[in-house]
Amino acid sequence: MTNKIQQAFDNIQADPRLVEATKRALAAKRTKKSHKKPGLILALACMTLSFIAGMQAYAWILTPVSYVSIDVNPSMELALNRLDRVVSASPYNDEGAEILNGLQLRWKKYTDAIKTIMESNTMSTYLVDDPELLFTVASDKDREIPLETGVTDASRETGHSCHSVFADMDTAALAHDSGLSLGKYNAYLLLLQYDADITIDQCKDMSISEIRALIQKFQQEESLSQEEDLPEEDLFEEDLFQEDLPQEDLLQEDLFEEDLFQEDLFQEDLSQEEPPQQETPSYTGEVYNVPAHDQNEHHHGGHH
Amino acid sequence: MQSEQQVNNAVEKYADMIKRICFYHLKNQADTEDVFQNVFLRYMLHDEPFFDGEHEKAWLIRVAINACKDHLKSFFRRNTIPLEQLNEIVATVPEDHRDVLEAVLSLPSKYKDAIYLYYYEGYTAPEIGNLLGKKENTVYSLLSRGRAILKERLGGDGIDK
Repeated sequence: MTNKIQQAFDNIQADPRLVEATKRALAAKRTKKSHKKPGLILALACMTLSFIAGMQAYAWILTPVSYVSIDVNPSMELALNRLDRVVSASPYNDEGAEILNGLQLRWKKYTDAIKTIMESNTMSTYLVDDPELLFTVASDKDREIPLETGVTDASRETGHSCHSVFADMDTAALAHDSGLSLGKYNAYLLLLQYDADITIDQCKDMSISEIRALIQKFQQEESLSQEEDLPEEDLFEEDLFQEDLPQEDLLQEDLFEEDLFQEDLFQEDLSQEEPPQQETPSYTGEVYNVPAHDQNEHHHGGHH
Repeated sequence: MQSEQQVNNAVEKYADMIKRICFYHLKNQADTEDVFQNVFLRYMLHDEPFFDGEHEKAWLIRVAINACKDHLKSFFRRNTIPLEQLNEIVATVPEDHRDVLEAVLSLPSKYKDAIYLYYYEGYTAPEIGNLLGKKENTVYSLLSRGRAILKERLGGDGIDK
């Protein structure tokens, strides 16, 4: 008993012409080397080349060239690529982690990323008292002004006043090594001028507002003793800050102290037999373990 | 490699079957011919001997189904199929059977293999499971759902009568 499908499909048969043609074609191929689709090798070569090119482009597009640090109470830092888009966002304290958790910031234009952060639910609790936001921008000279403008505009658009400050990329590198966000590290440097005993660890535990309060206190004391009118604008007024930027020799002095500190860290690590990077506190973003100039080495190392 | 005689025998024996499988996957003559030759080429180049006729047949079915799927995904496939060609094979079939063919052609592809192998080739569900790399229960589901769709499209009496 046949069913409908059998009856219908019984009508589908191979044309005898097709059968003969196939037999002939196969006989012919039998004597030749086995047939490869034309251009298979070429296609594979193209794919490999474009893969490598793609990898390099990918590395290129991932390289951070500027940083924007956002410090209110939550402390976080955005790394931007050469197209001013976010390649990573790192928290530098619990509050920062809370804010960044669940936010998709990668590849956003930095202005959009800032707005997203500012408008997030978790952020709103920290903005209740309308605190002054601190943005610290580290980049090469050409980008400084555009970035700063963008950052300020983005912040204003969300209805919050802010102060932005410049730092250079060397400071950024030092900041990352130290485990502080760029903004906090900058503030630490400033505080250091007033209080030579202040340590990075202490700053880690302080919020940015606490650091600023300390700085203000010192500056007030200084003004009282110097009987000079300090400008009433916020401490992080750009020119004031730059004026207070450590003079070159001072900076080297700081550097020296910094090295000592790192040396201690290193010895600690030796005893624990773990690579130094593992010892840095959890809030350093993984990208920052490798300073920019090392990334090339890293990259070549992987190409075996 | 299979011998020339083996190849010729296989082509004779299984030509209709391969044609049918290609047809319900690819629907048009030109693609069907391409894949048809491709399937037998693979047969010819296959190095291991086949255990028996059943093994050989099952192998060919699998290769044909895979070849059709690859062809459908292939970059080089023609993207447009003229409307006339869509029915050119069906047009050669007597009218009473065209509906059935078109109904099967219109099934979502996952049902087509199960339906064809069960209702035409007469494989059991476990055997179909082996052939397609699916669980037996999955095959039963595919069959019952496919059958329901066909019943819907062909009207009340379904496949059997």
